[in-house]
Parts: sequence; C-alpha cells; structure tokens
Amino acid sequence: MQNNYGNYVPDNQSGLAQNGYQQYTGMDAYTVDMVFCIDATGSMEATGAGQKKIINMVKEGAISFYDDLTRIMESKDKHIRQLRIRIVAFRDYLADGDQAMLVTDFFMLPQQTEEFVACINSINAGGGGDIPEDGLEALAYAIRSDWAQEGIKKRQVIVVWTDAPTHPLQFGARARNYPAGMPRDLSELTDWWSEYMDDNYKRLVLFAPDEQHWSDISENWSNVVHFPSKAGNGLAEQSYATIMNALANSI
Amino acid sequence: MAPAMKDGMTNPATCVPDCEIHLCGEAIAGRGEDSYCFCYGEEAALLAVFDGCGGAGARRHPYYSNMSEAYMASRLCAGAAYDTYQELFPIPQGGGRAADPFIRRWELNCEDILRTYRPPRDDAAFAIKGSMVRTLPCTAAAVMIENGAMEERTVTAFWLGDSRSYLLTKDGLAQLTVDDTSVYDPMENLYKDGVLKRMLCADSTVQVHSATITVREPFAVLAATDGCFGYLSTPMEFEGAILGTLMSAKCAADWETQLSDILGKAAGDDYTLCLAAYGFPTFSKLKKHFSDRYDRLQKQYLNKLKKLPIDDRDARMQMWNTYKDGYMQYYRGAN
Repeated sequence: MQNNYGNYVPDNQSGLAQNGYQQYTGMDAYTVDMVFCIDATGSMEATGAGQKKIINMVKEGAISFYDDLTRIMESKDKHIRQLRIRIVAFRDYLADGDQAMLVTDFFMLPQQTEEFVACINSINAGGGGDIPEDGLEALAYAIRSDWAQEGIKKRQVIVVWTDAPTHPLQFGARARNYPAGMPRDLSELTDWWSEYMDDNYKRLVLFAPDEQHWSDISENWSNVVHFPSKAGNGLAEQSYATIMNALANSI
Repeated sequence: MAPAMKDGMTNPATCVPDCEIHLCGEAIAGRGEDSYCFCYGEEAALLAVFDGCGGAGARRHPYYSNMSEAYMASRLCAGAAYDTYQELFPIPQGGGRAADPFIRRWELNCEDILRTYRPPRDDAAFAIKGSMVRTLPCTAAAVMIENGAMEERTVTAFWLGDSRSYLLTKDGLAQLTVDDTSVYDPMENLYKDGVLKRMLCADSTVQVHSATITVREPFAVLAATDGCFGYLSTPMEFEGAILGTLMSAKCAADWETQLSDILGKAAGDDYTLCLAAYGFPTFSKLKKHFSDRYDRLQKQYLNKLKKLPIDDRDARMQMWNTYKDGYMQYYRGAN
C-alpha cells in the first residue's frame, strides 16, 4: 500500500478530518456514517472459499456493503439522507511501523464513489508479524471518528473484517509511531464504545474469528452482530442476508 | 371483520366490547412479522399485539420453512396468549382480579413455547451471534379489561418492548405503556428511533411490565405495534387518524377499513392494531361521544400540523409539549 494513494494517509497525519456534508432536510431520513476496518496483513492473502484471496473477497464485500445496505433499507422504506464511509486499514505496530495503521477521511457517497473504490482497491495484504494483529487500535480509531452531528435519525456503523485475533491494547506501545491516547486496555475501549458513540445510533458488525478479543466484544458490547469467521470467509449468502437484515431493520 | 354493533343497551355485566376493530397489514405480503390475539367473554376481554423484531430476529431457518425468527416469535406469543385465555377462563367465583394470574401464566406459557420452538443449535443460521441478535424475539402490548363496580372497568396493560397500548376517552388518547427503548419520551422516540432495550425472546425468562387503572365508561382501549404510530410525525396525528376515520365511518367495519388504509399508507412496516370500545349502545353514539374531542384536536393540532414544513421539528415539539400532559398521564405510573 502506498501512503499517498487515494485518500490514504498514515494515521498520525490524518487529524481525523472529514469532508463536508449536505444539509439535512428531511425528518424521516437517516444520516449514516460507516467505518470499515480492514485487516491488511499477509495472512489475508490466503485463499478462501471459491479459490479467491480473502483480501479480495473483503474488498468486494466492502465495496458492495454500502450498496447492499442502502438497497435493503430502501426496500424497507427507510431512506438515507446522507451516507459517508471512512476506511481504517490495520496491521501490527511492532512489525509494520508506518504501515501499521492507515486511515482515510470520510468519503461522501455516491459523490465520491470512484475515490472510495480506488481507495479500497489500493489495499494490499502484507506484513503483520505474529498471528494476532492490532485490531483493537483500529476499532479505537473507528470509535473516535468525527461522526456527523446533523440530522435527527443517525446511524454510526463500524464493520470489521479480519482473520486474526487481536493483541491486547498497548501491545505495540514500544513502536515509535504508536499513537498517544490509545485506551489502556479492553475495559477502557469498552468505555469508549459508550462514551464516544450514541447508544441509539451505533452498530458494530464483526466478520472476525471467535477469538481474543473479538469474542469478548461480541458477548459484552451492545449493538453487535458477529459472524465468527476468517474475515467473512465462508459466509453463506443467506447468512449475509441475515446480517444485512439485522442491520437494516435496526436502522 | 368487525362484528356489527350491538343495537340498544350495553351490558356492563360482561366484557364483550360494544364495538371492536382489528387490523393487521403486512409490508411484504406473506412475510408479515406482526401478530395479534383478541379474546372476549363474560369475565374479561384481552386484546394483544405482537411485533417480531426484524433486526434481532432476522435469522431464517429451514426449520421454519425459511421464515425468520421474528415471524415465528410474534405468532408463538400470540398463540400463548390465546391458549392462556382459554386455560384461565371461566375462573371460579370470587377468584379476584384475573389479570395478574393471567400475566403470570402467559409469561410461563411464552417461555415454554419459545423454548419448544427454538431452532436446533446446529442450524447454520446460528453462526451469527452478538448482542444485537436474539432467539425468537418480539415485542408485546396487551390490555385486559375486567368488570368493576357499577359502570367501572379495570384495565390492565402489560407489555415488553416498544409496542404500545392506549386509553381513549373524550379527553383524548393516553398511552398506558412505557416504551422499553433508550429514549424515554414517546415523541422523541419517533424521531430518534431509540434502541429496543427489552423484548420477549427464548434467551431469557419472560417478565413483562404491567399497570392497572380503573376507568368509568364510556371509553375505548387499543393496542398497536410501532408500524401504526411510528411513521407519523407526532402522537397527535395517531389520535387524529383514529378519530378522523371514526368520524367518517358508517359502521365499525368501515372504520376498520378506513383506519387500515390510512395507517397502511404511512407505514413502512407491518402494522397491527386492536381496539375495543365500552359504553356505547350504538355506533352513532360512539361517533357522537368523540366528535367534540376530534373538533378540538383538529383546531388545536391537526390543522396546524398540516401547514407545517416537513422538517419543522421545533414547532412539532412545541405542540407536543401542550398535548403530552394528557397523553402521558399514565406514563410515569407504570412499572
């Protein structure tokens, strides 16, 4: 992955800035923000179901996710006033240095669809060091997104694709570029889930193995849908439809 | 279809309503996730609505002919309500108020039936988990009406989730249930779309909220799923829909049709409503009883609401602040 490809910048340069967004004008339409957290480590290069690389399946899933969700919401007479998506690609701070965490601003869709797709396609799987990755740091970045404040009906959806368990938070603290202000542990990150995200709006979708710490989050955090898997590999069409329905009906 | 209105006197010795309507519309034909139960007899009447939680209960199983758990849950709990009514009545003389034993027995029946119909654990759909996913989840709002002294009736509302039940008198509509959502205020809830905090499901014991009031006839009670009121911009418009269609209806069946049409046009979801009215010897007396209230509602709220821009939430909130004193008079008393 290149640091300057698409809208990517290393996390320490992004400043969590965001694009402007349209004025909200209707009362029954939703302002939806999504953050896609994608594991970009070498193990995602492995071949999954249908002889496709897992990373490629994730890219396809990420690109079609917003389209599928908006379509199913429209079919339920739930209209989206504004949709923005932000990407967090994560690896391992100790093993990957400046390539450990790459974040974008929010893309406004459909206006910035081309940039969004180019950005997704720029993700190359590599690095990662040991088996667990710094997925919790990615989740922390996602939680602290600059969520849209306007509109009455809002949704803040974080989607995680990974094939690996997570390191404990602060595992990579020795790394030169480990960000200041990260939660000390999972307990503090759990507090962030309540503190920085509105209980009415937030949703977390995990395509992640039932391993450390994804299983803890799945069991203990509110508003979570978890498909235990390697980044959604093996996700049957019906299960995918169930997840989309769970999200759309709760939106 | 609603039965024809009884002609002549009402019979306060029974709990057969003088007028009843029920409507059940589906957003997708054949896939509706609402259900209801309406029973009445000498000692008590029961109207109950159930809304399968489409988000939490989105898993589909071959075991249910590929229908969702939400679809199944509402039907199972409605069936449990019907069975409980049949089991409990008639009760021995001097048996006291029936609502409390009814609720306890219905809760147990729900637990039994939900456990019995729980899908097999090896079903592939069970791979999906998380706190947003529940087994056989639905909401419930029910009202039991019993005979009281003189022309009084005891009305017990019991519920779990965000379906609602109401009392309708010449003073207006009053919500008898308290929404089990993260947003307390019923009007705010329409805008903020609060997260459902509690529901009936097979993952936990069933324990509903309940509240009892004594009401002097004439009155109506109703139970409704959120498809009925959740797509209107204010609770005043829900009362307006009920009374407006009553005023233009020729008979109970016509009222039912008109109300179903108007709610169905607004709803982006399944919608189910059961209503029972007491103390009205004829349909025309029912209409006459509520005509002054409808006039006031129109002048004070509905005519102004029609002229408001769709995004003028502040003006709606101002009107709500006036309206809510009556509407929420029972809201804080519920447990």
